[in-house]
Amino acid sequence: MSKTETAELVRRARQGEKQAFNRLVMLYQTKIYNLALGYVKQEDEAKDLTQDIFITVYRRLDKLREESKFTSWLYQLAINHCRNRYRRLQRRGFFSSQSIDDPESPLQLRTEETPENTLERRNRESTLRQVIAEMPAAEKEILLLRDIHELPYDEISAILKIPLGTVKSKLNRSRLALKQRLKDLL
Amino acid sequence: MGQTMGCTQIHELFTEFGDDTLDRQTRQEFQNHLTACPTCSSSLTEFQETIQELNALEFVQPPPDILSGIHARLAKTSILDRLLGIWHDLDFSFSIPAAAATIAIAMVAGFLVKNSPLMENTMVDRPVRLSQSLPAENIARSSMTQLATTQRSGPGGLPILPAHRGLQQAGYPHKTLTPEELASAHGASLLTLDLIVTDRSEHPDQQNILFRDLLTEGEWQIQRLQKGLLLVRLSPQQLPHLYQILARHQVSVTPSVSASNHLLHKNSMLNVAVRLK
Repeated sequence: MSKTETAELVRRARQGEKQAFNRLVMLYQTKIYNLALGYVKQEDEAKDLTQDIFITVYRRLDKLREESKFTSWLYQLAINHCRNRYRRLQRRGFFSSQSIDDPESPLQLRTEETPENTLERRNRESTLRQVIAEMPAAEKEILLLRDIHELPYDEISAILKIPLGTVKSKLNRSRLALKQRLKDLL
Repeated sequence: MGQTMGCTQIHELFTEFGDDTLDRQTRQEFQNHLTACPTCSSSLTEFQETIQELNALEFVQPPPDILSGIHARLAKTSILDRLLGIWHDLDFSFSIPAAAATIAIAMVAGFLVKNSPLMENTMVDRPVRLSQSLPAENIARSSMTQLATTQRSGPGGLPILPAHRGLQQAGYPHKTLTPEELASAHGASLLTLDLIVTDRSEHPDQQNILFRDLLTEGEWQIQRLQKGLLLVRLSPQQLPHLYQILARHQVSVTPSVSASNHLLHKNSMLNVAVRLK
């Protein structure tokens, strides 16, 4: 969907059109859910967090100044929610049992019925997800936004409220850190 | 940048090299270094493979009921949520001197109000004291004491008194008055409590849910007397509905249902205090 079409949906949702809001949720829920999962690592928590984020979107949509900037605004709001939830859960010791080796972790590979030829790839994917999830928030955010959500630099700069140059240098450092962690692990 | 470009500097340029945003000279130096340095060359290959893997990661499919869950929660939008929304929207970023001045003014105002002769007329002689009472009453003790000390914040300035059984307990240092006697002594403005509900849940979210359920499910009147203290005014016919809600939560109710059957025969409105931790 183009930016113009999204902006039109946002405009209609702001006018109280329920279908337009539903469509926005359907359009972005996968991205926001995966972003949330990158922080809280637990499916139920990620679902709850995603719902919280969209409820906030619903309530604050009228405060969005430019409809064309909905995506940046949504990610900004989502990142803030994710950071807050992550900190809250961390204080409660939520992640103490969510280690990289935790078999109950949703990020853990589920190997049942997996053909052998795809097992290795799946294994690698699973490890990658886990390593990202274990990274410090600042490193993780930029990797998620750029390399998984594939957002442009200027949008990441707006979302994280940091200069463009800093986005690039932080991204490079985060990628190097991820590469090293993977190397150490495998 | 000259020939002195070291391995660390080369690593710092990996992303820009990948984005093809290096100027011609830097790019040349970068490539020269890679040709001469197998470690950096190998590191760049690993770096690029990592990015490829990241790009290839597929999104996990979200549960199918996210949208329906959002609407279910929005439907439960309560006055409390709106108040919280307003609270969050408020800007508390005033300066420290302004904050100090505000606190000082509030303290002076509080002192003046406390010592106002007008307020003294509506005071009860002493806070309610329940000693050596039954377990359920023990639970209610803190609530009742607190309620007795929050009379000034009652609806329309009405003082609040715990009702019936509470006032008839042993252990009063002075003459025990019946609610009727108290009512006549202090005029018709006295407000008696028929039930005291104390939330026992440990989790703040559970308390918020109780708060929200009370606000959204019943058609009774609710007033927030102070933080964590609600006054619910309802008709005796609404009492079963209230109990249905309370049954879903970890709460203690004083007096108990069996002990307060007479409440169902009252024609007037019932006053229920709900105390959250």
